[in-house]
Amino acid sequence: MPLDHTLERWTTGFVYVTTILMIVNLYNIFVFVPTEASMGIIQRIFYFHVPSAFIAFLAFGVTFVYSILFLSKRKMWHDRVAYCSAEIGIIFTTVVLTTGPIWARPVWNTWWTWDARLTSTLVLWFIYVGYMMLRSYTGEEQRGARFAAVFAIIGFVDVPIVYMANRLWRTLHPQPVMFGGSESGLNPTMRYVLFFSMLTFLGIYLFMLFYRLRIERVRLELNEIKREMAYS
Amino acid sequence: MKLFISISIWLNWGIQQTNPASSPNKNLGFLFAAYFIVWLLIVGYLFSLSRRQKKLVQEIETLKQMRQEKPTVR
Repeated sequence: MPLDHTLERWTTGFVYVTTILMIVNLYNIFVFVPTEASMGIIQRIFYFHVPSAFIAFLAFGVTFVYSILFLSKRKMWHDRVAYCSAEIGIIFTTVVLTTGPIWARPVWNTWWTWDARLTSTLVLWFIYVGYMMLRSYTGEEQRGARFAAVFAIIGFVDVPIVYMANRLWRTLHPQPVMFGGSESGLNPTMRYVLFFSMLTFLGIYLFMLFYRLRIERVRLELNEIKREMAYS
Repeated sequence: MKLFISISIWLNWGIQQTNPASSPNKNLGFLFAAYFIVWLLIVGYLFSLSRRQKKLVQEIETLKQMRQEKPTVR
């Protein structure tokens, strides 16, 4: 089956699946899950904030893997996947960086603090914005893609730093509620809603990625036509 | 900038108005603002993708038309 048709089928499929997941997710967050005792209703930001961070890590992870693949196999399609995934990763990191301060203001009484978790997340955002800028400034395709792949591989080093920041250093950001040792843990209903929300965001990410890749296919087709016309 | 200032004033007003002990819907304004931004970013990005695709498809159509109209040189 041609790649165009596969991308189209997957994109359409993800629209339906993600829409259903989204409706159930909103019901879970606003109706089903109990209100957290100490923070109150504002804690419901958690169900969008944490999955967005998870998806941002996943998106940058995909960029990292496909950048390595591109450097080893030199297939332009690997570079395209890395590029598209980084773009989506920036969107989700922006979600994390905007919902975080909105949650922090009533709970910590400040919009922002320069603690390790928050600062490393901001640095992560800047790294991948830099990656996108590098892509747009380097004219020649193969060379620009090579530079960007190296940049993305080095930039990915910040992802484990962001993840481990509140484990390694004392931060105002709360300690991990999942996989954080004996002190951490979530109420089973809250855990279910969090995992469901992660699944929903995974659906949104995959939909965005397939849609974005389809656009890349159209762009490649356009470049091909332009080349043909230039030589004819 | 004006929008940002207005939202900040509105959110701060929300903090001052609510009584922590008595109001179960305390910080509803913040919750609303957060979810609004999430949806704005997601929908905005999807909208930009759709515009990008439409623009590229239009460009392809124009070039195809030009190619058909242009006589081939042999």
